[in-house]
Amino acid sequence: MPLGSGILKGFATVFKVGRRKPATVMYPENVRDIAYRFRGQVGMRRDEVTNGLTCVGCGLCETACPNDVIRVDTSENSDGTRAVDRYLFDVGRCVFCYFCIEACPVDALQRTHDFHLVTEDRRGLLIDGFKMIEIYEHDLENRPLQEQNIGPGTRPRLWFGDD
Amino acid sequence: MSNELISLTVDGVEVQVPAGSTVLQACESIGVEIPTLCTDPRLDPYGACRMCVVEIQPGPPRPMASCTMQAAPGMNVVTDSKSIKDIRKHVIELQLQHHPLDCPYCDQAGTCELQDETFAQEIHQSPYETVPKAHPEEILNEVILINHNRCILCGRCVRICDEQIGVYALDFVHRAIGTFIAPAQHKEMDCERCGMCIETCPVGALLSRPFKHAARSWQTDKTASTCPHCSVGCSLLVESRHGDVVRTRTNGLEEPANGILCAKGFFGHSYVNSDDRLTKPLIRRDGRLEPATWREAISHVSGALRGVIDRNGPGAVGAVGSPNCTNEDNYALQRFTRQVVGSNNVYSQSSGFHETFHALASVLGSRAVLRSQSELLESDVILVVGADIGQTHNVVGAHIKRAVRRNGRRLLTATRLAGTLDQYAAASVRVRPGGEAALLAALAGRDDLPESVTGASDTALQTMRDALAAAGSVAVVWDTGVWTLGRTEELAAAAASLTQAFADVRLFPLAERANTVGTLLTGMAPDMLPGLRPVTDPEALAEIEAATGAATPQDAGPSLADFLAGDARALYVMGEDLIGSAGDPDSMREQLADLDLLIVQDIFMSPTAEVADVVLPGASFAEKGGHFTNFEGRRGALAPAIIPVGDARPDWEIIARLAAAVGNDFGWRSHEPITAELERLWRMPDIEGSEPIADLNGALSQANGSEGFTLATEQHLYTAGVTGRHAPSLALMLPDAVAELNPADAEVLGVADGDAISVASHAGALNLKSLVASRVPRGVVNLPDRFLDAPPRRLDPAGPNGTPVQVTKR
Repeated sequence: MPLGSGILKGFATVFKVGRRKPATVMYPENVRDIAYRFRGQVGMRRDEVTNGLTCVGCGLCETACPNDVIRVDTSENSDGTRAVDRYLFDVGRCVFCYFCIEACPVDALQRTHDFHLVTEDRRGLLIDGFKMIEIYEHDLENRPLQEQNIGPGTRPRLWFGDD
Repeated sequence: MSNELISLTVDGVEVQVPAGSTVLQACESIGVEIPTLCTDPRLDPYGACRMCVVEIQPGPPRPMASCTMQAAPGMNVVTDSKSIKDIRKHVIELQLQHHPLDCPYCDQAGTCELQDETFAQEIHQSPYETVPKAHPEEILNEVILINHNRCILCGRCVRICDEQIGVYALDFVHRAIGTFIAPAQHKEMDCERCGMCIETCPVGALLSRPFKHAARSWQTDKTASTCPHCSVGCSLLVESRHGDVVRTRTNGLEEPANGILCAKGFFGHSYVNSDDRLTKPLIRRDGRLEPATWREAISHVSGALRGVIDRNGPGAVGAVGSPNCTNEDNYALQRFTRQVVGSNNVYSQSSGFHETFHALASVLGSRAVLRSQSELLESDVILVVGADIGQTHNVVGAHIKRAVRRNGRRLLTATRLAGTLDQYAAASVRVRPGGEAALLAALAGRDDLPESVTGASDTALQTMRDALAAAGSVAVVWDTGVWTLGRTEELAAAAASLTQAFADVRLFPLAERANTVGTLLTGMAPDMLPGLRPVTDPEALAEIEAATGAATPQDAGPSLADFLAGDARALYVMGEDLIGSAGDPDSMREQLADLDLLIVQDIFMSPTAEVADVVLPGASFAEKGGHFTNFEGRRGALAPAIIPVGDARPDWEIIARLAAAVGNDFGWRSHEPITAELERLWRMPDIEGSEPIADLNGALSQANGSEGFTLATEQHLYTAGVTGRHAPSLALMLPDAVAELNPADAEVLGVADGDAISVASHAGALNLKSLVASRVPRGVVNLPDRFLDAPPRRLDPAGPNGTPVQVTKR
């Protein structure tokens, strides 16, 4: 290879790519559209009767979680049923695998598209069930439409209780 | 079961099993898994669930339950044919017709045998219309509840209560589809709250109320450990989650528990996570105990100890070990005191076991005392004297009942109060409180002791003597708890005299606390070294020097009372409440307050800790490793299940850090080096009995036979000392501080249940509530021990049992 051809090749690449429109946007002023299948923060459905958590405290999400994200503390209600004292979700540890959503027997856990998870304090990443309800209900109003044309070789995946 | 082997074929594989085995055992011996629902290794075959059916050729032309079918030579067993599989699937499908599918809410999910079988039989939907039952949950008592909807009527709860515990609190009521489990004989539940029905239940029908919804069974960390309550030393499985002990269960079928637990073992763990635990070192500043860091506390203690040693010499420093702490903790404390401080003033308290042991060992030799439980259960006649073993050592009591029913042992009870053991006894007498030694002497042949002293009539005594004389071997069992105070010597002498009167008499003085025997064997005495050898024994001293690399002082220290009354200036108290357990708490408090330095290491704020200069938070049984030594001399291992609460640390670690701060680092970073070091010095005591059996003439003639009331005291089934008071589930079961009276006596006094009465003796008076109980004989008032608010020892510091008292209505 003649001397200097590498440099010329580099210049050519810069010239070619530099005239393209950038793929990135100035976040957070601008936000790109999110795909329907985007895996965001896990949300929680509100129980319509009690207006509280739908969670029954079975602990299956906690068991399914590969990363020790979830902690469900339970005790006994006065009528003998299981009470969920506390539902804690450590977003900082979550890898968005959604095993918890698959495990949930009452479809309390729901997928959302929320990825605006930044906080200034690590403790802010530890959210409880009511915050998860907020996230889910916000997402219900703001979620993207399901794409009609999905690339070859893929099929739309139906999540439990979704839509 | 004989040792003869028979051979049969299971699924084409030749199997050899001992004659008398069941077909189920034959299949399991080669790893062929037979699904079962009503089988429990602790229980007899029952054949309720029909899951274990197999085809047998040659044999009846129908499927047979393998659990109840005895294996026979030449049998050809088929376990996996199409029809057998269909039957098993069908059994589960029929069970699920009524069983609610509430697994997400059910505490049993994960360990549920019905759930496992549903998955194993690959049942996804029911071919039948499901008719879930809808009974409400029924609360049986403070700790047990039953959900009839989930019950599959396997009968395991009914059978374990009857066969293993010997209580028979539960039974089937009604018939056919309407059958359910309820307190036996439609009575109020007569239950010892051992929780074994909960444990054996294959589904979530019987539930533990303290554990209810606390954790899912698969989420808990399981740690094998040893029960910290009484001296039986049952092995436990401690289940913990997020640093909380959530429940304890049985662990294996081995001795000494043989697969069962009592109320204290099953429900008595909750003190570990009590809010009252000491979580920070406390140092007294300006008269108040204030929280401090470990660094401050250790340097404060080491500085103050040095000060006392410099001023008054090592002889002014003493240490008290604890039967609630492990061998390792006690060993560490005695090594610290002997080798770092340089004094032999190490002590441990027991209500009566230590004295009983020494008294018996000096006469009969130490081999006669620390015997295994299997020797007890294999004796032809078992004689229980004094306290009701079913209350004080519940698991041994249950084993005795089973030995009587299963193995034809004869039980004689000479207890002060009526108890569950009496139903199994061939003969029973109500011994007068204080007359226990006299009764033993009368059984051994003395005929000059009147019924007013022993409590037994001549005919009853003769019946018992005949039974003892006819036996090839006799086990004499007594609890050495609080009631033996002041009477240990005469009781031991009387028990020893039995060994001369009858053939092969085995003595079982049962120690009170988990590690009472361990404190004896780890050398927690001013004149005894680890391995129970005298401090003057040059061989033992050389051995200890070789193991530890340091010398031990050779002059025996004074007794604890003499030490405190004499030149005591500093005392290190580990896991013991000297004030609460003293006969005269006020003078003990004064003595302790007079000290220059009192260091108390405990898990709760005891009365002793309240007067301490430094309080160090120790770890409970679930937070440290080590060993407890049970009444047989068997060591049961503890393992840390959770991290100690707050800043609490294992007791051995505190002592090791203190030793390092004083400049003598033992090099211990875990309990294992201590175990290894102790292992080199550990030995079962080997004392030759040389002294003659004491003559009891004088002692027994003084035994009381007064006309008024006699005080009796013993440990209640649900009392577990200070720890029990802080365990919510045990505290629930524990009655209030009461004086128990016979119904006839109560009528004479005009006293009903719950009335305020006063019990007065020559030494003091106690105001208590009355409890009319038919288990108390006439003329006796029973005060269950260990009520800190009304300790029976107020009525006679030397030994309350047998003290004449006046009972008056207030």
